Amino acid sequence: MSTKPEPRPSTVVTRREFLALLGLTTTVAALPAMRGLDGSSAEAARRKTKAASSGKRKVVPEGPVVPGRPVAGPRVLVVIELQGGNDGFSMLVPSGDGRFRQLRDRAWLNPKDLTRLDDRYSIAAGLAPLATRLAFVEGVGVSKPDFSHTAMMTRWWQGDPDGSGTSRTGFLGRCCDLLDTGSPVVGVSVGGGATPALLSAKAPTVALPGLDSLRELTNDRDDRMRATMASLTDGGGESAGLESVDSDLLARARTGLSSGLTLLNGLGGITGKSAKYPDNNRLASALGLARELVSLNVGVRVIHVPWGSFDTHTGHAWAHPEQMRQLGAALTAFHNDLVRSGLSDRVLVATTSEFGRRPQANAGGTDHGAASTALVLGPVRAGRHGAPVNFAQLDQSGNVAATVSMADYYATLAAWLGVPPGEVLSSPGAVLGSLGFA
Amino acid sequence: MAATSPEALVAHVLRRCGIAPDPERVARFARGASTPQAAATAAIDWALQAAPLPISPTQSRQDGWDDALKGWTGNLRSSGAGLHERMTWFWHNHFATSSDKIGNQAMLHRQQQLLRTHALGNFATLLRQMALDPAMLFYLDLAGSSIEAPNENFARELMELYTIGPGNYTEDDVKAGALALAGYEVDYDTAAVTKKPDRSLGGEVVFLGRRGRLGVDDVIDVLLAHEATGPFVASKIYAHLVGVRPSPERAKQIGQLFRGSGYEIRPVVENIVRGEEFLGSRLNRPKTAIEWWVGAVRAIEPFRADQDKDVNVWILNDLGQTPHRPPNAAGWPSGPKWLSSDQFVTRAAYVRSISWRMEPIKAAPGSDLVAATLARCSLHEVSGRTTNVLRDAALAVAGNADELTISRRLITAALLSPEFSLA
Repeated sequence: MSTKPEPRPSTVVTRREFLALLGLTTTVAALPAMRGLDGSSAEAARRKTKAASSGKRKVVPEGPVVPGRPVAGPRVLVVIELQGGNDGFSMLVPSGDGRFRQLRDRAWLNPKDLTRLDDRYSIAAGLAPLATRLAFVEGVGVSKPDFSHTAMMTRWWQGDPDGSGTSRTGFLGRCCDLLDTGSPVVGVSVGGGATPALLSAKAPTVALPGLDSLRELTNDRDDRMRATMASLTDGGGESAGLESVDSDLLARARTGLSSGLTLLNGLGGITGKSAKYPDNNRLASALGLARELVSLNVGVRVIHVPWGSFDTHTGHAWAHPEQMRQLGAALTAFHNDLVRSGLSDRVLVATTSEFGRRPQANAGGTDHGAASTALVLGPVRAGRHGAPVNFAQLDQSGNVAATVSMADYYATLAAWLGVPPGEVLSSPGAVLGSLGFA
Repeated sequence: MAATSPEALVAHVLRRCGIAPDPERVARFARGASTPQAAATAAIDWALQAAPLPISPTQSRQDGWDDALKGWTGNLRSSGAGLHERMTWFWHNHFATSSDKIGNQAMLHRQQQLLRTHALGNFATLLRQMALDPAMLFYLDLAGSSIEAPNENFARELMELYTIGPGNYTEDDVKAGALALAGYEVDYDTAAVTKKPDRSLGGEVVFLGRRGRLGVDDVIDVLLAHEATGPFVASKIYAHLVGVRPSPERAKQIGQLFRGSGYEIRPVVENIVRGEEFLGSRLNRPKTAIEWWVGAVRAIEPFRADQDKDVNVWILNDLGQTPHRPPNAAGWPSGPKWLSSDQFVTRAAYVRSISWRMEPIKAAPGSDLVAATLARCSLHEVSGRTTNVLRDAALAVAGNADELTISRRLITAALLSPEFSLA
């Protein structure tokens, strides 16, 4: 909001008072403590190293994720949707695979943008600060890929690997339905407005509006305004004069306004300023808000963050590393914030993307592909998971076959949340046990 | 429909055949006709003939976004916006390109001019010119695509989004199309488009069954001759104007009309808005953010004489529908996204943030504040619930609140009502 008309009174009801009014402060369930990973204790020795190169303080990961530390609160899943079709092969780079190098010759990455892991793999240099913490799941995809953004985004949103089109809710929305215990908000999308991924049958899922808007309303001096808006949402059968209008749509509009008011009451207090995140990094800002959403303890279990422009048909070799730098900086800041807030055992970050890029580059870019690598960060075993793809065996469209199905990947994310995969996927895959969370 | 008021029908026509109704125009058409149907017909006649709105002179690449955005939104807000403006918006959504990727104001301005020139003209001409439009060439990466390693982005969207639709082509067609379309370059400063023979197709390809040494004209010929193009594009126009997809029979009918006329746009648009299902299709889809915003600004204005007149167009970023910033090549989604909680919160905040500058609502003699508010919002079909809420807002504590506070309550409630959220 560009204009601030009037001085604001200082007697605005605080978030805590609002929550108390709503009875929300008592809804935070005391769940059994969850255990961190045994493997993470090795990180203890590496805590808090500060890189002070070139006079700038770099953000480095803090640690450790203490095994066995009691955790107050339920697990949260943060899904970062990498928009446009992320080239997983430029994230975890099979740099030792001669066949892959040959295919990618025209869009090969600059050596400075790669950090070598071993003879077979490098990672994007932008992710290097988190090298010891990141889990890469190789070969994630579907058995019969489509190459349309829209078609594949829809499959991923709906958790519908074959594009059968039978689902009316989103995969994350269905998870929210099963996690819904009556809290005001279960799923939140941050930074991109409403998403089909969070479409639920009953659970309250919302998109977080801009903070300026929240502030405008939280500070509104006309104390009758909210009650007036709330009274618009009572359907009450008073539709006289609207007989010819689709009542479902009217009901949807009332629900939208009603959950907007719920959102305002439950989430209106978030500040976007609770911790230091990199500037000019939209993902970092969104993750900063995600951390606050978890800390609010209003029952948020699933957070969806759409981000990035990964459709690198041209300029792949500079565009992708730049995205990786932003991703790495944002994830590092988020991880540190979680550690400081005592939330790192509770929060799992996982990426999705509609598809990867084709191994064979075009002139300087990459066209739509199929199977790709996904990234997971949290109390999991770092390193490579799934199974490597085979660049020597390309299908008719020039793509590699998936080694981990969408159903496997999503079953794993459901399992993290404690949701039985069979309840949210029509043919659930196998949970990736190697990630190591119980 | 017998009981529907002329105002309700005219407001519907102007919502769909313009962007948001001007209350005075609604009143004029409603008063001037003997039956509601005749009032609606007069409004449709007007919208079909409404003169194209000009855009500001060519802007240089350095010129600010601010002016460009104010120019386009100024047209959308114009009381004179009829079907030409509506269809310009439709084609922007059809051939969606984003400044985020193009970043060149002169090219975007040129593309907008192209959309305006052909908004009600000929789709075949528009498609041919759009294929080689500099902004489009950059947006879908045809600029710089070479036969050695063709870029498939444009070839795919040309079929999936612009002409025949998904399910009517194979991956081989995408590859063949990319080969046939390779070889173009664009000068980023002058926007000059050139074709490089050494980077263009030398041999033959097979594209949707046609074999040959094909170029851009051939590819588009094949697509325009394809039986799916007429129904696909005409159905998209229909869904935009009527609010729902056409029945299979209707899709076939308007598809044939479209193709049979050599893809003339005006006849198919006229057929749709004069069709028997049009007037009954009121409030059957959500307003998109820009439709809501234009209507809201119209209802809140005029501002008081001593107040800032700026309506803060940048709120469109928060609402998710800034011209030339669609989320992707498929344009903005239609449907329930626009009824989500964040929309309502952002919209409420917007109304609260500018309405304190409004001229308070005055009731005409013999009318009341509620009726005056509804008329200002062109809301002529309203539930008992919403009317009661407005009545309460106007009366309950009128004694304690000043005129402006009450006006702001009324306008906030009206603009957030379920009825105003629908188009």
